[in-house]
Amino acid sequence: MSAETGNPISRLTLERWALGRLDEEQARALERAMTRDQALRRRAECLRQEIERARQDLPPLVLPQEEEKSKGWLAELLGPWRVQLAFGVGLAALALLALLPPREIVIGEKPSAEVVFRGAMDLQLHRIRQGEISPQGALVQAREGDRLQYQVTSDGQGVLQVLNLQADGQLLHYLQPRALTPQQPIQGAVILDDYAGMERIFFVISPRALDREQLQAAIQRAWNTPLAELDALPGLGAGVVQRSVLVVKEGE
Amino acid sequence: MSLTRPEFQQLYLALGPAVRARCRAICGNEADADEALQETFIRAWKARRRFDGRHPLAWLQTIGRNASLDILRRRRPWQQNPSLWLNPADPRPRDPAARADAQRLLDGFKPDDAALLRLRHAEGWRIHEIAEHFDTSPRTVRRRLKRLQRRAEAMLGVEEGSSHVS
Repeated sequence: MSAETGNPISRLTLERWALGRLDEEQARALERAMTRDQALRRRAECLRQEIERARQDLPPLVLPQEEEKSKGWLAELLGPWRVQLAFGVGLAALALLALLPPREIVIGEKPSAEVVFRGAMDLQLHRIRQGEISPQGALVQAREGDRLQYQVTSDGQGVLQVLNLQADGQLLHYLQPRALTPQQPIQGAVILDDYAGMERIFFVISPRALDREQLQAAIQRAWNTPLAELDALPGLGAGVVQRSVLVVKEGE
Repeated sequence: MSLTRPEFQQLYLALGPAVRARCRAICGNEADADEALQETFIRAWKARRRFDGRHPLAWLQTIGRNASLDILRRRRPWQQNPSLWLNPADPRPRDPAARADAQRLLDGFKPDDAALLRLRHAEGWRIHEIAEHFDTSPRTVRRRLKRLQRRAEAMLGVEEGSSHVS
């Protein structure tokens, strides 16, 4: 079993072995492999030492308190049976609201996302290569140096962000949040670098700019979805309209 | 999967050392690695209800990788000591020209390129380990390393094949 060829043992497997989290059968198989492959044994021992060193002065974990504080405050104020009662009353009120005609329900001045966007985003995308312009669909075959020119138009107000997600999980902002007014197109272009492989460009219109945490959370939610199938960043909330294109770049 | 606070603390004590070791490998210094470690478990805590409970180490290492790369993007730690970034085993002070070369080389790279070079040359990770870590194929890692090597050679003005990045 070679380290660089053949059937390499993953780092995750070695870490699980070092942490004692491999089941007995897997651990035995790995240890048998180590007796045959001294390089693998050295690698595993080295990793075990690194993990032990990291365990020595592991800093305490400080978790955020907000969520439990608010629960504690509510429970203290109302007591457990009162919480259940309040929950029941809330449910009854919601059921009553559901019976009313929708037009009569006005909650502040916050516009409904469906009214603002009506799901409409017009995206036009062109690839420019050595002066030659070609319109593009959901899949773009590209090369280093290609210029992708986009135009986004919406029939509502919002904020446009253009994001690039690479297969290695790196997210780049191609266009920082920019206010979008109805029927006023925003145009932009990107020149593709020499990153070989797949990447996906997301065009996102939202009622307000999405912050870094929201975007990171979306990427974490999507981490086990192949980029080719990830049409939209998940969980960005209601009122967010997205389009995306998959860019496949040839290597050198 | 909804973990309670004590269960999550247990998870931290059990798996935190492995996550911390990887964060150290990417970040190249203790302070940044510990910040990445905290960030990893805070993100995981916030996302715990969406986690299905399978493969917790893989889940945490993925979050840890992203947290570490975020720190590299913000701090660019190689700028403090570019030679050590690529070769921590050789702490000899570099002459100003070599230091400037290393600086120029790394300034031209994106943070994930710098991380890739560090894992390969400073930490001695195997190609397949880097591929697994970045969730890509060994072939892609080889191509990226080759491309970085060529770019390094072009930047440093050396003839192809006469120098290595490390």
